[in-house]
Amino acid sequence: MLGYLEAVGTVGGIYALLALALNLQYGFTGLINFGVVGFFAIGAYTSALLAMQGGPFLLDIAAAAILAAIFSWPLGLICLRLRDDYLAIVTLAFAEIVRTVIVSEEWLTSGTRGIPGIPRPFAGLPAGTAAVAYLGLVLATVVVTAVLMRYLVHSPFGRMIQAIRDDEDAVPALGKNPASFKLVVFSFGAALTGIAGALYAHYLTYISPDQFVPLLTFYIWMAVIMGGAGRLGGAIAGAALLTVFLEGTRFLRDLIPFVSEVQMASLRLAVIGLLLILFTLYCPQGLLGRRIA
Amino acid sequence: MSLAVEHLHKSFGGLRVVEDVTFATDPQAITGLIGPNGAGKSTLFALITGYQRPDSGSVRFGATSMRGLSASARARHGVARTFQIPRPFRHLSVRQNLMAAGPRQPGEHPFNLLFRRHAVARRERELEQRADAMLAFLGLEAVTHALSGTLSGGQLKLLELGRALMTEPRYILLDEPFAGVNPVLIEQIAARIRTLAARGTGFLIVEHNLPALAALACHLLVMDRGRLIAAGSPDTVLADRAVQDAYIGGAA
Repeated sequence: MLGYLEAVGTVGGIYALLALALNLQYGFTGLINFGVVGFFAIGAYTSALLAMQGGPFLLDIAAAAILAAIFSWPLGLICLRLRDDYLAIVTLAFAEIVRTVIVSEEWLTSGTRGIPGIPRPFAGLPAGTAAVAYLGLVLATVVVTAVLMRYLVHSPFGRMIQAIRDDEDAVPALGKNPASFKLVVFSFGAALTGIAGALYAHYLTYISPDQFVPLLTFYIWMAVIMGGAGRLGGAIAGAALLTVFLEGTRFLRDLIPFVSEVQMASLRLAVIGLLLILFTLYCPQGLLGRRIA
Repeated sequence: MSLAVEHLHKSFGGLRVVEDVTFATDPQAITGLIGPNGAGKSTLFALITGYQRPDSGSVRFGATSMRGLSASARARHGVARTFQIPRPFRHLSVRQNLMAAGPRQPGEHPFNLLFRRHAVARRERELEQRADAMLAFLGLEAVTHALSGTLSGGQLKLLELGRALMTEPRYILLDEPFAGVNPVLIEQIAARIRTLAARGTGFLIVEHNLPALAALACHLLVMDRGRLIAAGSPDTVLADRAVQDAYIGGAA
């Protein structure tokens, strides 16, 4: 049971990092990024491939962040001058392209077979301690990110991105160019998403393309919306709630007899969907109250 | 600073919204722009401030041509504007709305947040003081920390004006600054505009409150259906038969 909780905590922490990144992009700046999983995959594969070549852990993480940011840059340049909906469409397509490329470029990514045996840090520690140490690393990353985010949002930079979110067309009249602020936020969020991907790859020690489907993007959106978009603690609260929904439904098995495993898997998704619908119906402002109309 | 507009044209589809508009304003003179709804006043504002690109024609402020400059670049040249319908940053406080308009805050670049923290903090204190002085002038002290989304229509008009003034402009285009503002405050704002104009800030003001505008502006421009149909001192322009026809025609 303890091992299970460590696993849930680690994955929940990675969701929290993803939600923090999306909350900066959507909650504070109004950028509609439907390609979260694309940057997550770039981070995971970059880090995994480097690690397989013997790259040290911290270098893998840094490379994941940098590569995700580099990929976000041209997307941002193209889309951020246009209206919000274009960014939504392009990022959604981008994430699917990333997955397709991973599937087809076997020489690099091993395609659908995936990459097994990614080294996990703290492997030298005794079995129980290693998992706790990794959980600690993930949670520490969440805390540091949240503190940085708080500083950023309360800075003059944070003021401008919120101004852009509230009324982008009023910003040029103040002598400031919204596109440059949006580009910084978009790349910074992508880098953070890449770091989350790297932590995910090193935790699971095996990655394959079918882990990087659009469903993950929408889970993270649900976390941000349930927590309260544009609220500093919202991303973390939302990710925690999402994890409870995703993991709690595993125990349905104990409650519902007479269904097959396959039926159970579908039923579980249906219950998750129902929980999300009920939550948004009865708590539309999110746990902490949303900041976006 | 003076504004010179030459042969400005703008069509949307087949509709000519601004047609061959040419005028120049004197420095220190407050210029009013009037005309019936749909005359093209707001589009003219958009063309002058870079929010729309003209089909042809030119805009100059002082000696500087604005050709090809974006709206934000024009604002950095000292050209400020307000919007007919206020555009507050509604989840920011009133004071933060004003501070967002302040120029030269290095902290708007994340790099400086890490490496020039003292310069950022110093500028932030300056902007705070300027914002508070502006709030005092506009009579908005009571709502300093309120979210701007909660203000009344008249308060939003004042915030809109305050935000434009915070950019340290040399030329200001005001789109209906008096709409929904109480008469006492209109007098105060008018007095402030006169003071700024006497110090060399140019003003172009669209306003339907003709008595208030006539008391303020020394020069009026009249637009109707995309064209300038009259220009001159308020007395002569408002007595002009064509102007009266345009207004009555527009109102009917």
